[in-house]
Amino acid sequence: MTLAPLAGAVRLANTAAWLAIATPLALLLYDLPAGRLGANPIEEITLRSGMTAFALLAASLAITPLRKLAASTTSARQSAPWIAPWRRRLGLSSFAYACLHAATWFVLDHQLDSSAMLEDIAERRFATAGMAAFACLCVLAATSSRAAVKRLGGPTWRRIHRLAYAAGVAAGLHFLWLSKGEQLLPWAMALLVGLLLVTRVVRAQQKS
Amino acid sequence: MLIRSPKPLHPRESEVTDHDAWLSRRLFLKKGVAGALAASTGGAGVLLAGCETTAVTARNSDGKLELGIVKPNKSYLLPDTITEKAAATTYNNFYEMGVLKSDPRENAHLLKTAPWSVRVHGMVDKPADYQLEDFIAPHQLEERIYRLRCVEAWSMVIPWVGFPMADLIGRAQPTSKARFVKFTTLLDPSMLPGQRTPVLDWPYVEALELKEALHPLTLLTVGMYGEVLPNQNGAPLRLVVPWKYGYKSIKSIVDIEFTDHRPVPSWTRAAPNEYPFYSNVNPSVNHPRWSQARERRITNIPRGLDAIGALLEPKIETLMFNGYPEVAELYRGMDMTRLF
Ligand code: HEM
Repeated sequence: MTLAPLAGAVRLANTAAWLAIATPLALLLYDLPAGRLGANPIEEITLRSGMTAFALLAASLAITPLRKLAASTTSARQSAPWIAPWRRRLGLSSFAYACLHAATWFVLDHQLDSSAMLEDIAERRFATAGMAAFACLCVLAATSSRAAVKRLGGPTWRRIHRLAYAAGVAAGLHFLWLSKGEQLLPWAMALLVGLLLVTRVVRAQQKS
Repeated sequence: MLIRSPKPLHPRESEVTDHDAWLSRRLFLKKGVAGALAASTGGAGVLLAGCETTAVTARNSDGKLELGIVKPNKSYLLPDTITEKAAATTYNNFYEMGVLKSDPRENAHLLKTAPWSVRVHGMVDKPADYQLEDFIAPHQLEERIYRLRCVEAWSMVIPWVGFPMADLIGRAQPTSKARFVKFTTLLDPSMLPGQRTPVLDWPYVEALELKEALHPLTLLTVGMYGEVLPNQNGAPLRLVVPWKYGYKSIKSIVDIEFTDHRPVPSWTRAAPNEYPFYSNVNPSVNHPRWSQARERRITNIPRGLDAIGALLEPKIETLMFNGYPEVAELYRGMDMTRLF
């Protein structure tokens, strides 16, 4: 069994994945001067970056369940080494879009007015949840390097990185709480995060 | 019936003349000489012999609504920059047409506004089912420039075309028991696809106290920017209540009922602590969702370098009652930070 014929396909798939991740940013940069962000570009940037950050976070959380699924079929087992690094890559990509999202809010929306931002975070639950999700992603990003894994030691690092699920739950609440009326999309996203959390808990119980 | 002449807000001499010239030019193009004459004489002597047909709103042979003569009302000019029509017609909250700001524009073609009937009923001496053109015909249309403040902390400045709600109330003659006016939007998911999902409890309902509806600022609106309302802006008939958050200005109205008990508006039903009955624009209210102290003024669809500039534009201060302090008398003695 040789991986050589697969190497080209893997490279291609990796490139495609990176392009997909970069597309929302490229579209933002293209659409802004073209006037395609509409009459309220700050809002549009906030919505697109938030949605992308959330989708990438969910994708990152889905990597481990997908690997387990792949491992259960012999032919796909070979793809596991390809998939594995994407948990970290997707997580960091989510963090990048979350930074854009948060920076849009801090700098463009609030013009760094700290009292107004603190008021929002303290008194408006959607902002509290958003900030909590962002804080989790910051910790995850700061401890994402191989050096950090070594320094912290595997068990501690793994415990810290359960924060990815906390970020998912907080982002889900954030989205639910900021949408007006009864909308489908935030519920669908919350459901997805809920399912991923359940599979994680089930896996933990199977191990113990 | 109580008709007060409204206090002028902050009209600027230059704007008054500019606007007049602009409007009469436009009317000249649209309606020919009769319209231009009427506009340049401030609407007086509208019914010049042979010109009656242009005086009232009617449907043309294609069934399209054509506005009658529109007088600019100089008491309602603003120093603010008027929002470009392209922005006001592509950035809309109209959940019957979808929850994204761009959805109403995209789904607008589904709404058929001809024929359109409006029912006026309840505690009135003159209930009636009107065809839209008959509903509008007896009223003098006027243009007013109002600020529109959305609860999501953005705002626009829009030249509306309509007639005072008070004029309709005069026509309907509410009985002494009537205390509220309830408005209802068309319920038809084939034309309003947003109604296929239960975002709100359809049909959309809004309501005012009768004395609010009588206030000279309250406008029954059939047009904007000198033309018939685009569908995404609530064609063919909407309310504009400029001192309240935008959702009070209900769109695509088919039913107006006078009643003695306070109706529950759709958003109030969905979240009473966020969208209470009065919903007067009030920067000092600690709103659970958005700070209402400031607002983002939307003037156009920025492009090129302008788009970068727009990103750096700060918000502006929100004014009590959206800058219409004359309505304060309606709420004397009420705690406006609770009952905002
Ligand atoms: C610093 C913390 C954060 C703040 C202050 C914040 C604030 C906001 C605001 C103001 C909106 C737009 C609300 C609107 O215009 O209706 C929004 C939307 C959103 N945010 Fe955040 N956010 C934060 C962090 C996050 C994070 C970390 C995520 C995801 C991982 C996220 C996901 C979303 C999503 C999915 C939306 C809705 C997008 C849509 O409706 O299409 N946010 N956020």
